[in-house]
Amino acid sequence: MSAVPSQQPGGALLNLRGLCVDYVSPNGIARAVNEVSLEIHSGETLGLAGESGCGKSTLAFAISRLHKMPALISEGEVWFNGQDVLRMGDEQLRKFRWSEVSIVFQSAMNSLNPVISIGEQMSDVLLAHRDLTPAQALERSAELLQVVGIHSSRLSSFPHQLSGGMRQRVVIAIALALNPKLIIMDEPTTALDVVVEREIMEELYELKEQFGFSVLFISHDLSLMGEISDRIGVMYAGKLVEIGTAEQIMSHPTHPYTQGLLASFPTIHGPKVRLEGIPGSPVNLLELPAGCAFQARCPHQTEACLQAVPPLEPVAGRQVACWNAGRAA
Amino acid sequence: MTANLKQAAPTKRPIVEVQDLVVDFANQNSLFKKQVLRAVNAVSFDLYPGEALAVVGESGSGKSTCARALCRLNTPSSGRIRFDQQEITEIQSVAERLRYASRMQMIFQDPFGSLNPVHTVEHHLMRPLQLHHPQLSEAELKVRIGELLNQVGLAPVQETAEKYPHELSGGQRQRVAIARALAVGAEVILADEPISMLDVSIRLGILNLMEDMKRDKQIAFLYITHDIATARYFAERTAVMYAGHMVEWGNSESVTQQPQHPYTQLLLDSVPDPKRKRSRRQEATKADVPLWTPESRGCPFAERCPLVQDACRQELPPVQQVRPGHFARCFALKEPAGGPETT
Repeated sequence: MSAVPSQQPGGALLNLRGLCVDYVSPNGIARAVNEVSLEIHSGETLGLAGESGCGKSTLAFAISRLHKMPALISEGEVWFNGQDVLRMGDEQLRKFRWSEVSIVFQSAMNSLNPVISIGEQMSDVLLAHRDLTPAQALERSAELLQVVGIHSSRLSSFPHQLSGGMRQRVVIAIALALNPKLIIMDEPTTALDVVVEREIMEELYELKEQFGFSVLFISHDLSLMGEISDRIGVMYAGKLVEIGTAEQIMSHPTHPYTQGLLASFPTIHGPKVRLEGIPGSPVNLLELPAGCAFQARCPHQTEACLQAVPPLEPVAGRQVACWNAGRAA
Repeated sequence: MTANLKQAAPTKRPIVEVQDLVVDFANQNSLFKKQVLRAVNAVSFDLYPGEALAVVGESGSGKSTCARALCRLNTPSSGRIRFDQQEITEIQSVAERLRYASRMQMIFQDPFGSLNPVHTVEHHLMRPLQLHHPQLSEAELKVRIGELLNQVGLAPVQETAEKYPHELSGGQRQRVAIARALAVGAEVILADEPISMLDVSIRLGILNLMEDMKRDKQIAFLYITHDIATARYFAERTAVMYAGHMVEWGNSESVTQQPQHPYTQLLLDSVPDPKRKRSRRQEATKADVPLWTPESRGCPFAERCPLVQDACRQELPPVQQVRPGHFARCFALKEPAGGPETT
């Protein structure tokens, strides 16, 4: 962090530069996020894809500094709207969270407090961040519920009285409460049935058009991501291995991992062929090999892959970290 | 309607025949009032050796309850379940029950919960073998375990056998669960969401392994899933369940490519497809899945259906064949095959 520029580069809403997050464990240090650089622009949806343990959720936590020990940010910078997030004081950070960046967590439907009514939980956020009376906060909560398609009579309900889809909508309403510029969604619909997932994603898109926020959409489901994202980044073992427009990633993936991930989902239309997925298991972060982390599972492994970690470089209009991508393209 | 289903695979004899299965649960929702919930209603299907039937539906649609009724974890309230020509309610003696259990095995969703953390892989395979094949010697058991681990792709065998569950990845654990079902000579495997908790890149490995078991060992699979795309990939036939009812079933290609029931159409419309761009609106009304009770009448999808008619609220639509080997329960079917109800 020594050579920090005093300003955010470029015109993006969020900039990550060389961000590293380490988990300190008795068996060694696991680098869950490894030198990730990316930006999100105003009104953009960036999808971040990868398997469990690839560091995508850790990245989400690190952006709003919600990570807790034993995780720590060891290197890199996080810039948001001209502010250096890693240098914020506690009070500044408290204001930054939720009013500028809010997070919808994985299994968000379980993140509601079971013994407090929906209205009270929603007002809590508003009272903590805005100068409102309890009555005003409740009124605003009612509006927010209507925004996500829930009748305001539900304010007095408790979480167990709502279905999973409704609870997820409440959590989204709370995330929207302070008009944040960026909403991070960490597997927001994984626990929901596909019909409800579709309803919620469509509602989210209407809200996005209405309020103009950016979305960082984290998921393992590339097909859903391809449908809703402007750009997609793919992570493997803490590294960003490929990032490009949704069209580039979905139609012409370049990194062998992206190709394998896309070939892991049977399709509902088109010819039925035997798919092979990706051989082997995800790599253990404590036992990373020298060179490319994907080498053991890669069908195109060469001598170079065993020697050094490939850098993220422009190939055919997108960025790819693979020694063989440039040659192939 | 069982007879109708047989047309999907006319050459084989079914190993499992389920007819008009009903499973009720008593739900104590207040101190004095008992409410009976009908988790499964009027469900009929057959399983054939070497074939998979996928049961697709939302959580709470009764698909797991069907599987649990088959392995006698839930008692049917009415209906018949026949296994290899025998009513399973007639299976009473301990020896018979053991024999039934060895032929009908289950694989669960959570491979982290279905293996005992204090025992090795070898122990997990040794126990069922000892229980069902007491005549085998120690040396024979070891050989058999080696064969099983090889079959499910867990080589090197000796190394894997000595491992504890926490030393295995999710995919490897699920392979151990499959090996355990094979160990006792399962002829039917009830796979309840076997891949939904696994890493995306290794899911296909498990599906392909089950595919090989199906083909090479002529095992019949009941594949329970919420992912209709994997149903199409793995299963010859697919059944769609909604609120305890099978609303549409038949040849997987036919069901997924030309769905006839409005719920199946909604389900398929909801499946993410990157080639399709956003903005297609749903026709169906957003409503909760109804709680079905023995008193409930009509079609369970009526409250959400864009094609609802008066009849839909009166009685359960009869089964109609919409194409050879493809059936649905709906009053609004476009191409009825001889049924009196048409639009």
